[in-house]
Amino acid sequence: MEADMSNNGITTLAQSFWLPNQASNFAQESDGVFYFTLAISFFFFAVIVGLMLVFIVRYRRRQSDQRATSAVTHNTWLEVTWTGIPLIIVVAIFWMGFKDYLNKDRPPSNTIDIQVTAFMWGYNFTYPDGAEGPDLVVPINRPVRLLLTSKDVLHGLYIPAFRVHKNLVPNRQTMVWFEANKLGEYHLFCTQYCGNGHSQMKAKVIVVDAGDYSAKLAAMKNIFVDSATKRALGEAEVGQLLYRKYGCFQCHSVDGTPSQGPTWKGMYGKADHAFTDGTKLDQNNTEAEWDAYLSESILKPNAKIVKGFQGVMASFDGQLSGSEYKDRLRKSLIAYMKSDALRNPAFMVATTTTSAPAIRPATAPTVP
Amino acid sequence: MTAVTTNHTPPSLTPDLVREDNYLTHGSGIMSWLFTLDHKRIGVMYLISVIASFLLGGVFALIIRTQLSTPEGVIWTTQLQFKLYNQMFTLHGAVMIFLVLIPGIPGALGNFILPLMIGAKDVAFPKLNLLSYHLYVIGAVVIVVSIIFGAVDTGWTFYAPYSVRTDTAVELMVLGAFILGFSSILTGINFIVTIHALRPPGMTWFKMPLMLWALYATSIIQILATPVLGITLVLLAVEKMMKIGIFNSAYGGDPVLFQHFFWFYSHPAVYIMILPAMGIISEVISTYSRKPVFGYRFVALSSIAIAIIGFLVWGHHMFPNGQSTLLGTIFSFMTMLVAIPSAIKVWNWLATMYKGSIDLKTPMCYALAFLFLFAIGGLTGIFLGSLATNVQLHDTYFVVAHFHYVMFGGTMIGFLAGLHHWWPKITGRMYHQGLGRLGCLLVFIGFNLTFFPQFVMGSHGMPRRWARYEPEYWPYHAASTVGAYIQLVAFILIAVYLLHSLFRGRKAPANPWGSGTLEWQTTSPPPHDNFAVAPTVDEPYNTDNLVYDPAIGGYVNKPTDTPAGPAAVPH
Repeated sequence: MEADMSNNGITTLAQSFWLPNQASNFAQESDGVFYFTLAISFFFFAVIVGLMLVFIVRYRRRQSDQRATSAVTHNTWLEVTWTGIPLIIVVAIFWMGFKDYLNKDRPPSNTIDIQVTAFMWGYNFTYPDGAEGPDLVVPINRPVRLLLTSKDVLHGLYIPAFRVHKNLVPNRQTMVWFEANKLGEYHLFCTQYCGNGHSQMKAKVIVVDAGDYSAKLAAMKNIFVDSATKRALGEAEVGQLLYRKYGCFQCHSVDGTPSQGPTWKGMYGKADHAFTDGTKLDQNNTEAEWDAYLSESILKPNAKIVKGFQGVMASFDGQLSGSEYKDRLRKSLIAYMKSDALRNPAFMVATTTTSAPAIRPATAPTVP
Repeated sequence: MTAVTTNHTPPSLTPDLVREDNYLTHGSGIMSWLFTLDHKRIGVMYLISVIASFLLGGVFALIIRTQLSTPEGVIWTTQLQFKLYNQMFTLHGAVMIFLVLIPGIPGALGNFILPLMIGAKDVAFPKLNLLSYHLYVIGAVVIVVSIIFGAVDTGWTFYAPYSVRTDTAVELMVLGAFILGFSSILTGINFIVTIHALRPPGMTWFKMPLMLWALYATSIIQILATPVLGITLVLLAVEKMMKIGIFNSAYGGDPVLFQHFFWFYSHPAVYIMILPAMGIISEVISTYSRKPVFGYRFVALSSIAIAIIGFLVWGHHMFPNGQSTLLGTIFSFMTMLVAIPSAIKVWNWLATMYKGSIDLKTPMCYALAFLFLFAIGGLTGIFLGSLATNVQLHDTYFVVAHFHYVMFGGTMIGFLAGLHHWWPKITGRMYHQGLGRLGCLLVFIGFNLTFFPQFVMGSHGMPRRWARYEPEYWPYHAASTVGAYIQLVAFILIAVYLLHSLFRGRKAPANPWGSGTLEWQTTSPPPHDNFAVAPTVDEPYNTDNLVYDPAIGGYVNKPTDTPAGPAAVPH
């Protein structure tokens, strides 16, 4: 099935006026409870508004001395009935909701387990074979269990098309599981307010054929080879991909726009790059010193905070360190920062970098 | 003081005589207002403050809706700028909840009407009443001042750990809320004692107007729940200042514990907001149907039931936070139960209208709008209380729509109904009925256009508290913003004709609407000590004795042929 490409690849087909595409094992039963509750609501709403409209017409005061035509002030049987019937209905809705929820709480034993760590403002998905990435890739028709935690504050993980939703709590582990049953790409949103980047904290859920799954994971493990064309990518090219993938773009612009973090445009080798502790880097420092500073900032962001900014950056220790591959990822990010397009042109570097690669950064999607 | 029954309209109730001594003219100068002990003046001051706060909160709302008119944001587009958006929705929520919805009806209308409804001269503790108002003002000032020191950006819910980490003035804002909490508690104490101790002979518990049952139930919640919020906010401020780990996970604290403490108050708080509005609706529907409220006992006891069960459902705000399934299940079940007393009221109000004599004056139009909007708000609460559907809807715009339907479509519409119903009593003036109904219609249309699309985008996955959004949600947001601007027009219209009424409105008779409760047995506006002649205590909604007198444009007691003398003893 072709994914709807009108929204950056995300499948936006709706299931109905009310609910999005059904793409997981839970969707049908969950939606059943929703539509049942909706039907009950429409019915009672129609009764209430209908009676109201009939009464204001039928019993309209036509003369100023017109009195009420009924002196009945209560009717015990009627009142017990209109208490009891709604009570039975809401308890039934409770029961239906409870059963579906129990299902969501009890994963089968053969799940693929993926660790999810949320941070301000992105997600890191770690797969069983060690592959990692900022998007969620899952095979179709296999149960998947997500083990959720947060590095800093409360976050949410919500996949509307899967009918799956849970908070990520620091120092705790929470869990969701599901079985995707439609190929395509789906939204994953943060729903628990977490600061400035909350409305940009999202990921893609990519559902692929089981056969393609291991290939996708392998590609994630080697971002240096383009999975479609099999072309080997240069370090700065990879760095540019990581700039998007790891969410650096949320706080660091590459065109000079001021943001929460220092812009990378002209930063590498800057004439006067001052820190809040009084020290600074400038054009007299060596390339190695600039590299070391950037490497440290990625893993220990608060070691050197640039003057005029606050120490709010999350650490990427563990995501961009801890293995040879991840060290190489970090090096690629730095290679991007010192590429011809971004660094201070007056600063010379010895290490060759490919200049601005052919891949353009994704622009904000236009309204369809 | 025993009730004296009369068989003719006493001269003091005819509006033709120039009334020199009413509560508005009794004493002049700003000090006679700021340090008054008169519950009516305190009520008027609350009214002005609450309306001002509503306008402030409304400005924040318009800014939010303007920002959200396009997917990438109209006013703010970068992550750094989104902090301003976050501050905006925090302030909107905090101002509306702490300065308008919680104190609004009890403070502005309850204060004025409650003693009049029981034929009393004032509340039980007039000085405490003044203190409540002063604390409201101080708390409000502290909250507004906190904006200068770094407007809070946590959401009105102050969830840890973010509220502990943010560099905004959380401590100052929670101090303001803490002070406002005391205002609320003291009002609750005052009303409880007043209702217990100052009812006249003959007005037993089941003979008092349902507004009083509503205020009583509200007061119980106020005194039991508010202290929990107070302590929670103190803990939050202390933790932030002293860097200890009560809720802050960075120091070993538990963020979920904050949620339990916070919602233990904040869920009952929503019943503080809605119960007084329901009380007003009982009074209004009865008056403009010229019929006693059907099923009085069930309606009275349903207010108490809501107060009690309302303390047992707070966990439904926390279903996805990782708490145990057993806990979620219990809270879901209790949430379903709390829907029932509200449903009972709706059926009883409809039955009151059945075979009544219905007059569609402005307050009645608002009451009908209430039935429509509260029905939607209440029914959508069931979606949120059911565990399965909650998963899909939690923290989406469905929740935002739900609570605006009950808080705005419920409480504020009830407030507007009460304001228009008691306006003649409070101000001594009538307002233009045609414009009143038009204002109601515009509010109704604007409101539905603002908030109904939010249900649909919510169930489609639109998260709340997002400053920008995915393009597929754009049509819903666009409609919602148009609705918000229609509401702006509506409220401008309402302000214009009410202000006009203050200066140019026809002088009001004692009982313009033909209502049977005691506040209408004194002049509009009342004298300083409420009743020149002690009112007759009767069944709360008995209007058999009232006839319309076109000469004064209001209702008077039926004149009889028998000479003045004690009539039947009040039963």
